[in-house]
Amino acid sequence: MSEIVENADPAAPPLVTGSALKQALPAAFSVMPVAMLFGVLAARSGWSVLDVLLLGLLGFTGSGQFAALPLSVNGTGFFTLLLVTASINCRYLPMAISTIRRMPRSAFARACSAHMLGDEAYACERDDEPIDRMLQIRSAIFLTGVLAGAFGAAIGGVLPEDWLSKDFNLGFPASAVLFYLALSQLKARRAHIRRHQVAGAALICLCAAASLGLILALGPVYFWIPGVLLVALLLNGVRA
Amino acid sequence: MNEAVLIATAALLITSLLVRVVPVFVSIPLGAGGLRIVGQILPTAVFINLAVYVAYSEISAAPAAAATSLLGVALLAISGRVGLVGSMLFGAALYYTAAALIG
Repeated sequence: MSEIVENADPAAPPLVTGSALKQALPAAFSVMPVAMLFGVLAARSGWSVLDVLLLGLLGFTGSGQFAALPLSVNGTGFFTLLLVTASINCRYLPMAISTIRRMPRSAFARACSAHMLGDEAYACERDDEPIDRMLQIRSAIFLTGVLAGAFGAAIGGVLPEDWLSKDFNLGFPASAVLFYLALSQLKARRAHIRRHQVAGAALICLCAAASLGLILALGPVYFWIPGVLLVALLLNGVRA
Repeated sequence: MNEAVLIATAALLITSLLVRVVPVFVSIPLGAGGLRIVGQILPTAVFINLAVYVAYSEISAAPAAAATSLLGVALLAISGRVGLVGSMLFGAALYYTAAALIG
């Protein structure tokens, strides 16, 4: 029972256990400034706390939210918004497909856990993550992001206009966390790629170069699907 | 709640359904090779692209500060001696210090 952090019904599985929380906490903390910044910007655009809360719960997509905000404020139509946000968030497609095997069987739980999938949660989870822990990690990061956004909206109207320099990059800690997690995952997976360490590292560098080439050619929004496919082909080709 | 909020929320909800929810309900029979691709190759490909994307985005915005900081974070991640929190704090401190000094 000491592991239970939050659980209204003693018979039900804990919403967040200590060990899952420990695993998710650094990533959850790192999304807070970014989510709060979104809330502040949304409040400045006339959105209420309820608006930000609803958008966070139903449309939790990180960068997609930042793209949707100015477009919607400027009166952009639904299909244009959908095209932009789907393009930005198409990176979730391969992430979702690769996590099918650790998804719950219940359709509702499966849908909820898929909806809560984010970059940070994906990078925190292990391949053999039990369903309960996977749900706990995702819900911890998801709820932190949603609540931090609502908090940002609540304080957004109070903060002075020039509270933060435009040059100040509030999102860097989140980038540092994602970078660390991605490299840690690659380090753990290197043995699956090539038995020889140097060859594995060289293959990862080759794939990174290919990915960078696609970013430069297609831009950081549209490179995702071609990038993942090209790197998967390279990895699979070398393994075969 | 105004119309702009509703349109943005609807667009983001449908985006989530398209890229995250629908794919986990699509059942594709996979052989041993397919399972290896989905379970090992695909996640590795995603993480390589994610790392490159993060580095590209940050280095484009603040080349010297981001490159220095991400190099430090990379060394810590590869060595594995400092955990995630320590690495994030180190990386952020390095980034903001370098950004303040370089401008």
